[in-house]
Amino acid sequence: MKLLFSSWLGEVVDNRGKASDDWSDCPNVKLPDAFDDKRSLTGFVGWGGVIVLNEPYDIVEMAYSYAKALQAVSCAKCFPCRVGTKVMEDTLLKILEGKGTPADLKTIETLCESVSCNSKCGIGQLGPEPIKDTLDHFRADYEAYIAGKKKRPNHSYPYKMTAPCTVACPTGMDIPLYIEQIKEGDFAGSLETIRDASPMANSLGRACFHPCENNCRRANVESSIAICKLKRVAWDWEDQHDVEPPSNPLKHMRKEKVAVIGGGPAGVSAAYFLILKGYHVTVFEKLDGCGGAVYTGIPQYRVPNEILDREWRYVESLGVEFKFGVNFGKDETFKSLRKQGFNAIFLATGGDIAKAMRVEGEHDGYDGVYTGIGILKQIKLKTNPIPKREHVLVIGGGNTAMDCARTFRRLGSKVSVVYRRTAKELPCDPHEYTESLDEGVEYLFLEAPSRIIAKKGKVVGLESTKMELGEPDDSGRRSPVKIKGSEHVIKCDSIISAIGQDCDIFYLKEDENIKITKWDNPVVNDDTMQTDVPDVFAGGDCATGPLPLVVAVGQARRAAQSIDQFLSGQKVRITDEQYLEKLIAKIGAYDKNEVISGKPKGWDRQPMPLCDRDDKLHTFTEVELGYSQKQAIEEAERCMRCYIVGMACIAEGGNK
Amino acid sequence: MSSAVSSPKAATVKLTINGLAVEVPDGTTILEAAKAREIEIPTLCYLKKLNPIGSCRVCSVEVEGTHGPVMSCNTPVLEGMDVTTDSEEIKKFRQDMIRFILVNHPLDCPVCERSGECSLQDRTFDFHVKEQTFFTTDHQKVKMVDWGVLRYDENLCIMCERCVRICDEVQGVTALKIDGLGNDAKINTQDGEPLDCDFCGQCLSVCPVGALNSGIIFNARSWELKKTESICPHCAVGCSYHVDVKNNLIARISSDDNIGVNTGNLCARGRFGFEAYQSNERLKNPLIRTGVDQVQTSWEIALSETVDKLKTIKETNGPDSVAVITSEKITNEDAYLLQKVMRAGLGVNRIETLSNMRNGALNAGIFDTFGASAPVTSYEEIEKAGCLVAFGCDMEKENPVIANMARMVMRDKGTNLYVANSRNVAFSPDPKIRVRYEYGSEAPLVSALISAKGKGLKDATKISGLDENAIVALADAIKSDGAPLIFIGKEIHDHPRSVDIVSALVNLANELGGSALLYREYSNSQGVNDMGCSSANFPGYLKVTDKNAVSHFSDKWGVELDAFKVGSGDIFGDLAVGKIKGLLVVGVDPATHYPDGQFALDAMANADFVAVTESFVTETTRLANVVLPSAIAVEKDGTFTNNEGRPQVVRKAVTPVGESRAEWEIFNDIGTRFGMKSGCDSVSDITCEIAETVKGYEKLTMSKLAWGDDVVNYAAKKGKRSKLKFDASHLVLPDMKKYPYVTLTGNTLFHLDSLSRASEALNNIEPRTFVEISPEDAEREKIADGEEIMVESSAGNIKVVAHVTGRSPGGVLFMSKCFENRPALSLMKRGENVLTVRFKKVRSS
Repeated sequence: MKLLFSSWLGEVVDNRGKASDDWSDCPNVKLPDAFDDKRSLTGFVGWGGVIVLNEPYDIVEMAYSYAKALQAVSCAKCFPCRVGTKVMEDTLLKILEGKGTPADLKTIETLCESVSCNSKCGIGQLGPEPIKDTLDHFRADYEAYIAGKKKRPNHSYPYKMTAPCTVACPTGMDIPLYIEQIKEGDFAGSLETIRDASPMANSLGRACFHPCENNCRRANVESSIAICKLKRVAWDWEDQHDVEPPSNPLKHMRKEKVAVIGGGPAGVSAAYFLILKGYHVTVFEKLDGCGGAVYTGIPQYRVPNEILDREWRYVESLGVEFKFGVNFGKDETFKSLRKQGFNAIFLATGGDIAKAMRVEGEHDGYDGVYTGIGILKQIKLKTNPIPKREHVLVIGGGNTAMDCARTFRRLGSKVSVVYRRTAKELPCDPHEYTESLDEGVEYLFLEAPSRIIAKKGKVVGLESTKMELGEPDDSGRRSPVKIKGSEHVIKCDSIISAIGQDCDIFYLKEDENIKITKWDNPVVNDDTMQTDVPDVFAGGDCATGPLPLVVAVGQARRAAQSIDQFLSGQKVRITDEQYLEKLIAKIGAYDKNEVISGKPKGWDRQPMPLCDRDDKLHTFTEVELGYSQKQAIEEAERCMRCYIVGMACIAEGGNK
Repeated sequence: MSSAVSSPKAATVKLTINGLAVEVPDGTTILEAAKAREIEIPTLCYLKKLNPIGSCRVCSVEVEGTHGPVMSCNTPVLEGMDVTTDSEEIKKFRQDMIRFILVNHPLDCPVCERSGECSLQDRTFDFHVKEQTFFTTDHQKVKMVDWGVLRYDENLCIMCERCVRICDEVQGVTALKIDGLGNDAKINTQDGEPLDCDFCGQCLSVCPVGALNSGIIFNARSWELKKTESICPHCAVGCSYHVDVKNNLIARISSDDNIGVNTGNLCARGRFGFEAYQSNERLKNPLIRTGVDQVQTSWEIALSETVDKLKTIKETNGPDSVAVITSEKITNEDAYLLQKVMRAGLGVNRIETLSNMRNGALNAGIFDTFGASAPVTSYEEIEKAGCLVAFGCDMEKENPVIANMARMVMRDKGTNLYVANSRNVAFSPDPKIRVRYEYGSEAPLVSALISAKGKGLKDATKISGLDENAIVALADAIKSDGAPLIFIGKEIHDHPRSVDIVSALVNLANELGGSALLYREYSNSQGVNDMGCSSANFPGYLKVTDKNAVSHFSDKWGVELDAFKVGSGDIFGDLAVGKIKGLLVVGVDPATHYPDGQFALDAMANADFVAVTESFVTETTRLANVVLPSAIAVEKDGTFTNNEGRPQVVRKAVTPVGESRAEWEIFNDIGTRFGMKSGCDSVSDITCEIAETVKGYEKLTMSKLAWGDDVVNYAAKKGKRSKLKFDASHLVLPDMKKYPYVTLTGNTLFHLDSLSRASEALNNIEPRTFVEISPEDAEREKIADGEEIMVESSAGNIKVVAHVTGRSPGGVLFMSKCFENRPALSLMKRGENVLTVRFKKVRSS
């Protein structure tokens, strides 16, 4: 983008003194020019450098405010950061007040080097960088202050402490903190930190797709921290030691009532955040148990249901009421809920309709044709016996496909996954693929189903077409293209389609006011999760189509905040902190090319202990046994605690 | 050892440090690897026994190929690393780190108690930090927070977190935290209230500067103190410490991570109980009774009176008319000479300790009873054990330093701890499994843990209150970890069925290739028995009834010993009926420390003559005909044999108060007056004689502390372990209609005996005896926490303060027993083996 000055990630773009039409481009910075709908953004200071978007700005005040922010968040656990940033702050203030000397500039330069080289974590290591940039590129501004020729303008500088992993986490979990607590052997404290962002340490610690680990700076040294599995350690600790989870600390509840439709990850999470804000919450669930897609879809060997139960029981223990067997739209409606006095409704009904493959024979009722989510539910909830299958074809390459493939291997079938692209494009978690190979799942890449072949009502094969990869599509993946005349038959006795899910939102048709998208989802505001009917909010798969678990939890957290604003009579909007979060996410908190200081390469991630191979092939025993406490502590010791501070510069008319 | 660096892989790693090739086990830190090649990397916050956190950034080094300085304390070595520890840039950074700490650090060195032993002074000096280049505005911080036995000055604090970590990692209390952010951060209690914790002072001991201090600066400066290494006399663990003395006054007790079985860990009694040693309550002169009064007298008169009276009584009424009751806190030398003087000089064999009188099979008879499987085990086994089991053992309260050892092993090796107790005793971090059984169900429960099936399991389920799954889960877990080390605590030690329960536990341990450790009560409980202070045994457990033993000692001692009989343990009964007429009491007060103390007092008063050696005035000294003031451990040389059978050297750090004398000197004088040949004129004479005479003590010497790392070789004495027979039935509790609460008694973290009770510091922390009552019982009887209540038994009643706590389950009480003004054991009637009580509100009038 075009801007006045940037030193972001070491690439200096300096347009000072040039007419704005002649400004050169700064390709590695993308920022909005407004902080929110009222305030304009004039600059940004952070771990990667200093950015000045436009006048008015005051670089010395920016440097001082940033040093002050660093000192304010410094955890005090290492000397250079605790004291060094204080000396920086005081020295910069002295300059700002016109009492500085040229020697002070030298002091700050020395400090920047010493603090950033020697500090223990990101605050001290990365914090001094932008301050040093201001000295390097704006020395005249400093000298003007020292000469008494400048007065500080008192702009405002909201800041936020976060970390690359936290930025990547849809729930905004304080990941470095919970890992540090594990390192200190404080498993209870760690779980408390996790619970600040989600009640589902169990599901997330077992089955999260962990975007955080893709933003982990330790990967720049050798391999990322096992962030996801460390959550499980904290949860298992409480479970195995029979420790009572914390009770609801609120003494007085509010009078408003909230109805949550659906007891999946989004519903349970929203209920959790709302009860902790003091609202009476009732969860209406269609089935006899909570957990949604985790309950019905994630196989026993990944997340055992016995363990899952504890999760919603915990939310129940905080005071949430759960009603089971309630089919929303039939047993209860918007009208009936409002009549019962519910002041707000959160829709989290999930998406449990399998997408059709659109191939001939799919809907002809042949024996041996299943949908992925249907068959997984049937197996996990043990609703119907599963007949023995010789050779199963699983269509699709996502996590549901993996779950189906690995489940049928355990039931003794030969399993082939049919996927229209190659291994490289598989959308499932990489370890799911490698483990399925280990378990003997066969892959048929660059194949697309075209017709189901049946004899006497039973599946005997699949007609498939060979594919080749063409041009990249919107998602950046190369689209598969049919090779003409390559149709051939793969023999099998079962075909499972696992190519995605849709939502069943028939109940929305009742409420004429709620707008619906072309994908059959309610229209919701991405930030607030509010629909265009003020008392109705939505999140999870039903709001935006199939989502990773952790995204649903994040949406639930935002929705709970919005519902709180709505019920408190405030405007439903996002906070300054959330604006900052968006800003930081936009500029990018993780740089995969960054060279990490002070960490020799080679301290690898702890290997995950797995169950016996025999168990793995023949039973539904949980595959991953989880880290021992000792392993967990060692893994946590690898964490570099990459806290960073991002600070926005806002000139509110310069009237202060 | 850091957990960061103790990976299970056994392979070694090769690297270069300052050009030197180094090969160390995988998982070693750079700092430790350098140390192995005697390359010193300076440190400030690092402490070997804590997880390294890299707070001070002083131990930084350069690693070839890695950008920026690397902290050597918490970075593991990696294959092929090339480390430089002393480049110019690193040295400059280290100077800067010290400058940071010195920003606003008050130059209070002249009045700082750490001056002279301050790590910050040392590093400033080492790094030649001559000028300060960094300044901040001066912040006025709180000068001093008073937390009783220790004080905190945040101005001096460098925030190294050692105190926070030791409190958490080693002590398991987690009382402290970093409070606040940035430069305003300080150390504070978790809730900001005054410190309320174990008061172990571990935080004080690890503070590298004067931030946590004891107030000693008002009396002494560090370089004026003369340090004497000795053994703590406050329990049977056998911790090493330094007695720091100025002008014959003890200024403080300090610990040293590099000495002793305790690696610097001490508890409140050991660290803060020292002022009792020289308190005004000490007995300073011999006393003799004239009519109703005791008056000061000379040693000559007191000793002559004692010898004359005991001799006359023995000659008139025979050898069984004189008895000796000895404490378990005298040294091996004291104890050895005591029994020698009595047996060889006076011809009297009736020598017992109070615990032998209660249960000889478990104490004096430990090797007779359990043979090769005796529950005496080296602490080194804690580290080697497959798992740890605390059975009837409140590890944190009974022997906190052993709990420290266990906690560190749990941290470093991931060893599991299992706790089984009749009360809800705590351990932090949480044990893997904790079960609470009904008091009295121990034998069937352990029996079920051994076999975990069939009728035994059903019976145990019925009687213990545990469900079958819980017992099976515990048995399976211990079995799967294997090689358990079973800690057997006070509850079992005092149990009427102790021998059966210990036998069962020993069998459980043996079956799984483990071992057991029975907690003893006093600093030389093991040693006094080893030295033959029991009417059944000569030193080294040779039987008094064994002719060979008699001739062995006759030979050694140069006298013709009489044929001795094993006396009954009921010395007080015999005193009461006049069978025993002469009594020597050595350093113990049965009024407080024996059941039905009043009966004991009346019985002793019934004797014709009672002589008592004591350091403090007690109920027993008050009734004595002669009182001989005795020195305490820091005032004399000698050896103690601890819980694990390890003899260690006790050293004289100060001269005895007043005219008091070491017990061995007193016994030597008595012996001479009995007409014995001298030969024990110094402690080392006795030590030598013990080494020559007592089996297992062949290597005993005063010339160095302990002897290397040897434990008295009971193992050699042991031989093949065999299955012990025990009665697996449960204890039948007495009829409890009138007195419905089973009451267990024990010592507390702060009090054990007259020595702790004379300490002002310990009395300030815990001034009164107390009884722990479960919340439900308290609610039923409408008792509030902290309220004074009346506890009644068939033997009497006492008023005590109620602690309402979940540690007590319904129907079970716990009472601290060592308060001479409220002796809990006085509630126990003679002949009873389980104390049952009722309690009620004290009517406010």
